[in-house]
Amino acid sequence: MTLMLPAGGGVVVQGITGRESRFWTERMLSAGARIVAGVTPGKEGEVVHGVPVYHTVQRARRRHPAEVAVILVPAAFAKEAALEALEAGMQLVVWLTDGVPVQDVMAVVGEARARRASVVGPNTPGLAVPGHTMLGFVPVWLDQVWRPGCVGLMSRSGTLSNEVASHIVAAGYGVSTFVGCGGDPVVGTRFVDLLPQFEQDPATRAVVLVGEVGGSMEEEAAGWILRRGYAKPVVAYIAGRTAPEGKRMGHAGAIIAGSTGKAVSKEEVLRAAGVQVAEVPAAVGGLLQGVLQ
Amino acid sequence: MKLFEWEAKAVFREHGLPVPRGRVVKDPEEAAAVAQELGRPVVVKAQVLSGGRGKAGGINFAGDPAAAQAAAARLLGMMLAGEPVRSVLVEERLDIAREFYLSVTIDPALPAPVLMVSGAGGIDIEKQAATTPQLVFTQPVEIARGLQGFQVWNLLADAGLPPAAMHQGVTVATELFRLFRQRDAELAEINPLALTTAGSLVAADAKLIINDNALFRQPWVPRTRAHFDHDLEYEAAQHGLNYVKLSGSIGLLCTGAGLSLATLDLVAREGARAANFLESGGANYRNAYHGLRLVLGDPEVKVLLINTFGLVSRADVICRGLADALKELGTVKPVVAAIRGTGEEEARRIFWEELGIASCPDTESAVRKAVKMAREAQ
Repeated sequence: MTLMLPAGGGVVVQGITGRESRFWTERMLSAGARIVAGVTPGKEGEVVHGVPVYHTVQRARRRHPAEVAVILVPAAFAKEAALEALEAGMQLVVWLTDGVPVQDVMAVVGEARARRASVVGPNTPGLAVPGHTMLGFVPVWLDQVWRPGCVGLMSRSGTLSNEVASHIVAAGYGVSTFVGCGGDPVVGTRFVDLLPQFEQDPATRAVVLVGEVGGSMEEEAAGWILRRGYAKPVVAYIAGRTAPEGKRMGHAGAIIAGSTGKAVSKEEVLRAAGVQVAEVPAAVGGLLQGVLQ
Repeated sequence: MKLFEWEAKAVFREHGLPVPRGRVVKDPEEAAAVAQELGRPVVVKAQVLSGGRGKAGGINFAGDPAAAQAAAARLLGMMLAGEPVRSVLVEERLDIAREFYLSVTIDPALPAPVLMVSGAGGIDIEKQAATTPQLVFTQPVEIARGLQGFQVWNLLADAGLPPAAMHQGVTVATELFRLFRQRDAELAEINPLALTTAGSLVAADAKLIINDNALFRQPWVPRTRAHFDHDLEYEAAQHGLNYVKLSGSIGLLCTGAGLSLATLDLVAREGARAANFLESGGANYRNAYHGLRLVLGDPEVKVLLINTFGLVSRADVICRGLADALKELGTVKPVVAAIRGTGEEEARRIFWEELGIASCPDTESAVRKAVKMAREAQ
């Protein structure tokens, strides 16, 4: 069993018949994902890359045991899709959709909590265990970027995760599990939710946290480490030192409001918690070499 | 999307929330006319989106129409925190006995909406929450269950709302929460919520931020030029692009918010400055065209730096769009590119064979090259 992924691990892809979804379904399958069914209302009976399609998650699950939903439907329908997955009994929802209204996210995360299920995302590149599986948009087949290894990686950004992963690989390491928390201010899985999982994961020897301006996920992580202590070394990189105040920088969550959310203050609290902070993405490799000697 | 005070108050009025009588105007004569209609002392308030308006002199009291006209003449066209005052709100001046603070906001860590009340209104609530947290009363609300009446009664009574104002206070707070939900708000704030000498509650100020992701189902939200800081930012928004105008010689076009931010930082580390932040989202052909047109159209830009890491936005699709756009726009500005990720071989081939641009191996080397070229172009 891998971090976050329920045992069994059958995967249903919601919105599987879209053009981009077909591309990524094929990529997920070749990366090792056990996709057992797809869902698009009105398309039951179709087959996508050998995967049978059903009208609903519930109908798919009657025929194919599955615990994980990967959601690839547009923002306007994303809340309904996530609630459908939870109601059908999915234990993990990988919510890839970008642009979901924040109140919809709160409603879905609330529902997941009540059902003791997990949500990763929205607006996430998903998660990956290089050499084992990939659920989302992670190009694990690029071997200069992603290799199996001992570094747990968690991030608020997709592209930047790849940048940092390439430096982890260049330093001679690889990634045990990667989880993209997502770029929105409200997400289902935060850094503090992942820290204990990485700590308990035998495949992970060190953790890399990739943060950015805005919000308080990095501060929460630092506070958690400071209070509880942490059994494994943590390295962080925070993007946006030169971002202006009060401007949304790409991600809905990347906005500095007054004195909160600045990159330097995040770096300070992380350092105070004993986290090694990289000044540039490329420095992550050297810091890992230092802590993993 | 942040709304102006007068727009927020119009929404409040539709929800039956008590707001002062008044109107927004764009010239001093109209201000005098509104004061005349109201027939009593007024307050003339500069309509800007940035905070700290009161301290900067953006709020003026006027005893008669002539004074209102003079105040409006002084404010209109003035710059407040770098923002031009395009309109002023002329309202009846309230006789205030006491000020409260009331808002509905989001606590991302819960995550849930939170109803927040303080007995000390008209203040910076963040500062107050940090310095005197015992004066700030909060009630998280489960979305599935909704805000309950007893929660509001508890909160308002704890915050010290006088017994005679409790019924109206509960109505106001309940309706503010309903507004927050129905309008897809990130923040609905009344600061101060004024208790008048006559004993009624009135929203002396109003702040409303609508969630950008929900704009597709909130078509009433205004998005005029005045809602943006810069012409280019306004134009970018018309094409669904998140563009932020900065000041520098290197035009940035990156994929992904995180990589864009990191590239911005790296440019600064090399001692140069970026002309903009632009995240070109999605595997979208037209976005590439409009994004490039904006960046290249900025006269400050000496060098264009393209940095892509293809994920869901595949590098081959992005670069196909960028290459076509570069050809169509026929730029003479030098271009530096780092192309990686999904579909990178095809993407690099397109740039090399069609544009003669060789991809740099990584972000750092591309940034250094762009900074060097920008210095040479000065």
